[in-house]
Amino acid sequence: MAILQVKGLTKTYGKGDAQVTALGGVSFSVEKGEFLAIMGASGSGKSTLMHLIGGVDRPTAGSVTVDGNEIYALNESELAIFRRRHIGLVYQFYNLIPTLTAEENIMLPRLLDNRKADESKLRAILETTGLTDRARHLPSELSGGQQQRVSIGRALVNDPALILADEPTGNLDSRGSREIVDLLKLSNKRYNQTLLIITHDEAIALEADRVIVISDGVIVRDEAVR
Amino acid sequence: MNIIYKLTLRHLLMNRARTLVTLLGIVLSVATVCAVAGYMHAYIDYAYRNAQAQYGDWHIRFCGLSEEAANRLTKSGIVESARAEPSEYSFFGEGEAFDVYIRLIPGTDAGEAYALEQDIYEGTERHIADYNGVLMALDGISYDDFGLRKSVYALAAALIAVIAGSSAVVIANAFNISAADRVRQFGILKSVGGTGRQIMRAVLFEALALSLAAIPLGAAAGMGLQAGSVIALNRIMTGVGLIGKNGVVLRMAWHPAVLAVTAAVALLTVFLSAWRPARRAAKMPAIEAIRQTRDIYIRKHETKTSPLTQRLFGFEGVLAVKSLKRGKGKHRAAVVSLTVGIVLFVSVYSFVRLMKQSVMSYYDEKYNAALTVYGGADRQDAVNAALSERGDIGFVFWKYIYLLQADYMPPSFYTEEYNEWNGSLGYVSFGSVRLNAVPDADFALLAPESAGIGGIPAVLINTTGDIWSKGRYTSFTPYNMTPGEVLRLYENIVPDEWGSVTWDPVTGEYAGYDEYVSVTLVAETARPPAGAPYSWNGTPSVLIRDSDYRLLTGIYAGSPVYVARGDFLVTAADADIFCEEAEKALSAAGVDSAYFSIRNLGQQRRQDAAIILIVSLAGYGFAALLSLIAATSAAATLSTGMALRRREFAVLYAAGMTGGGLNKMLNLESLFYTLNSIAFGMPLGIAVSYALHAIITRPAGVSAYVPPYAPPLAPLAIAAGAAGLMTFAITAAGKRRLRGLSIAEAIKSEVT
Repeated sequence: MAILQVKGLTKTYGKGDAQVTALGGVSFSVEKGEFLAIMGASGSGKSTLMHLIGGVDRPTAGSVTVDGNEIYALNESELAIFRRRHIGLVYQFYNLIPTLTAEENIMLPRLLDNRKADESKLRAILETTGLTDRARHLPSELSGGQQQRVSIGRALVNDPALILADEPTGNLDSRGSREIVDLLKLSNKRYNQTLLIITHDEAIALEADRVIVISDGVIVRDEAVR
Repeated sequence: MNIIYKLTLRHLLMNRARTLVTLLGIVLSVATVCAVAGYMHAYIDYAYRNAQAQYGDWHIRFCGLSEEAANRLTKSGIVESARAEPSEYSFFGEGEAFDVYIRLIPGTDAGEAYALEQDIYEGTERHIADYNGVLMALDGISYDDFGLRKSVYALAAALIAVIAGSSAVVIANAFNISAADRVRQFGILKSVGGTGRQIMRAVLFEALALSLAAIPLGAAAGMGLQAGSVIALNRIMTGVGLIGKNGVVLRMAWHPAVLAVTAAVALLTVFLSAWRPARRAAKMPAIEAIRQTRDIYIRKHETKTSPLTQRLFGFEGVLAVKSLKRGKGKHRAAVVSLTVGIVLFVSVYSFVRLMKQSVMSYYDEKYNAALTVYGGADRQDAVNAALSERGDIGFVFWKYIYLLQADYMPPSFYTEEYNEWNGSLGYVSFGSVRLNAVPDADFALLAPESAGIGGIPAVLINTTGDIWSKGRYTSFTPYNMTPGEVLRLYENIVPDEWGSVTWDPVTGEYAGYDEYVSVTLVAETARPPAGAPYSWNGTPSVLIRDSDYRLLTGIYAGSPVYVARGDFLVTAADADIFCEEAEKALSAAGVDSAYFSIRNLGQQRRQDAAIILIVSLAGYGFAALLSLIAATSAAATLSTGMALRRREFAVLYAAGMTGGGLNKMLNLESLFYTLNSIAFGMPLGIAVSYALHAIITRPAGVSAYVPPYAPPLAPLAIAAGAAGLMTFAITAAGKRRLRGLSIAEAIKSEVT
């Protein structure tokens, strides 16, 4: 069963002559446990696609269905709660809250839900992300790679239907990048986590099950890697 | 603790400087509200105790009641308590009589009280019932249901509204900045599933946390302020005999209602201030918050700068203008705050200046007592003689002004405007003329050229008048002042003879009358000597020499000149002793006390000076507090701007701008902020001070001379200078923090 269905997703900015089409009617679906890489040059529309799938932006046309829920049929509050429980987002620039410790940042989606911090879950994530002895540190006291691992931990904490990672290694050196890719793959294998990763790094794309290439807002290639 | 609240508290702790500035703003506004509410309460408390001490703790005293009437009174439904004493009156025939002191139930309609009086004394020939009016008013017993207490509260409410309103503007500004700071944080929260409500709660919780910290501090500061000023007021006012006559002085008002009002107003102000920023933050789309894309949407024309800026201030000037234009909201907030401070200061200055001018011009430094004697020349002379005999009193008459009256003026004396106004009255009125006699030496100062003129030279005063027409006051010139013109002042004409008197245009005389006094106009003055009337009341006033006055009254026995009253201004060695002794001397000489009044100008002047001092202290204190509130907001805006622009500065450094260039850019920004505030503050300040001048000097009946309007340039310059100094100081503080700026780090760093 497809955990993600994207149909005719379109996003345009501006009006009249100044109108720019960032995404021109993209459709595809993703099965549970699949590891999908989305590639494309800068400005091709891949970040727009990711924001639309993640429910942080609204499309001009088209629909996105995650785990049977059509997310743009939800109102703002419902969408926020859906995002909190079913989608994990990982950004190039980590987007951690600087005043919260690593473990608080990881637990953030659960805390927003007013749910108690699940100790065993937290320990498991800290262990998986290799942050056990860094749990009480603030983001400013962590390296770039460590900060990105915190944001992956945050994405994992609610066992989301979908993890979306936008250039997660874009800001890291090669060793850091390797760690992050391994961690994402580990979560994909260990928890059968569905994973969408946006990258322009060929080497990372080759680790995925399937690669979609976007150019000028449309899919130009969609193929299984292995 | 909920994660949203925890996050908010940490944000407040991390941004310590701004948190403190915002706290300070709220504390100041709470303190001001608390002090105003407290004052009003203290004033009512004082007035109440004073009324009790002066007359007694009762609303109405019913005198000379019979036992039956007293019982009937006590049982009335509107009487709260009653106390009876044996009476010296008796209005109900034989038998024991009582004075009954009653307290009415607070809030009783005054009409019912009067009805009760009628009811109790019904059938009696005469009766006495005393009303303790102030106490009744303070207990809300009045006709229109708007007692004194309510008026005081209304004034307090108006002041509190002004404070709350202006505080709301500056506090809202602080929350706007804080919310803008947290935009990225809110974006992250939204991207991991935070709802709009949660974001909104974050901002509102910030408001609550700040209020909880600020309200007790502000209330304590307000109480302290009140305590200090109660002590100061008591000292100033008892010193000049304004209060304390009955042993009652002001005291602190610790009423819980004051604290409750303060807390409620503060919470309301802060929440209203935080509401809009909170909603805006909640509504901002997650994607925009994460990307912080707002800079990208800057339109080109919004940051356009003129070539003149480039030529005058160089590239740094261009950058400074662009950054001001980009941060329009913040820029406006800072400028509004600075402007508010400038206008407030100038307004208070103008008000106090006007008060001083109008009240103090009434006094002439040379005199410390005044004596008015009503009646003709005989009585004036009797008084003069009685006082002159008493060498032990120790005073000298410096100047005396007689008020004389004569009737009818040549029509050419009146202006068209006067005739128009006179015609609009619906009846014809020829005013009489007041001749004010002043010592010859004083007259010579006013009209030096009068020496060579024969006859009786006169100086016209009150050259402009204010009349009420069509719902407003307008100024006009009622009389023609033509040097050399001779005024013939005729005797009183009784209405019966009206028809027999006509103006003969050929001879220029009133036919049918020979008796007249001629005075020759030689000059006019807008500022007559102390004691002469300042305001025009429909009657022309002229000054004449004392020697002429004596001539007039001497030569024309039974002359048309009628002495209405004499005002003597006195310079006494000790005004207090003079007033006491003069009264004794006049009584001894057999002058009825109904024909004279003695005023202690020294004491009156000290009292007026004390009131002016109090008003200026209160005014400047109020302006200072509100300006401080405004200043904290400007400080918050400017310093936050500096912190947020670290990255921009790093980019400029990286692109090769020198430290000197950066300095110049920031100094120019400060300069532009100051210039902008002055551009708004200057005309507004002048407008407010002009309006105050117009309002206060316009109405007829102002018994004082107020010089023509002059713009308050000095205080404007001081206020503008202070605003500039503050802006530069804040920028300088920000610059110091930039000293250790590492280009690489700042550029890499995210704006969080």
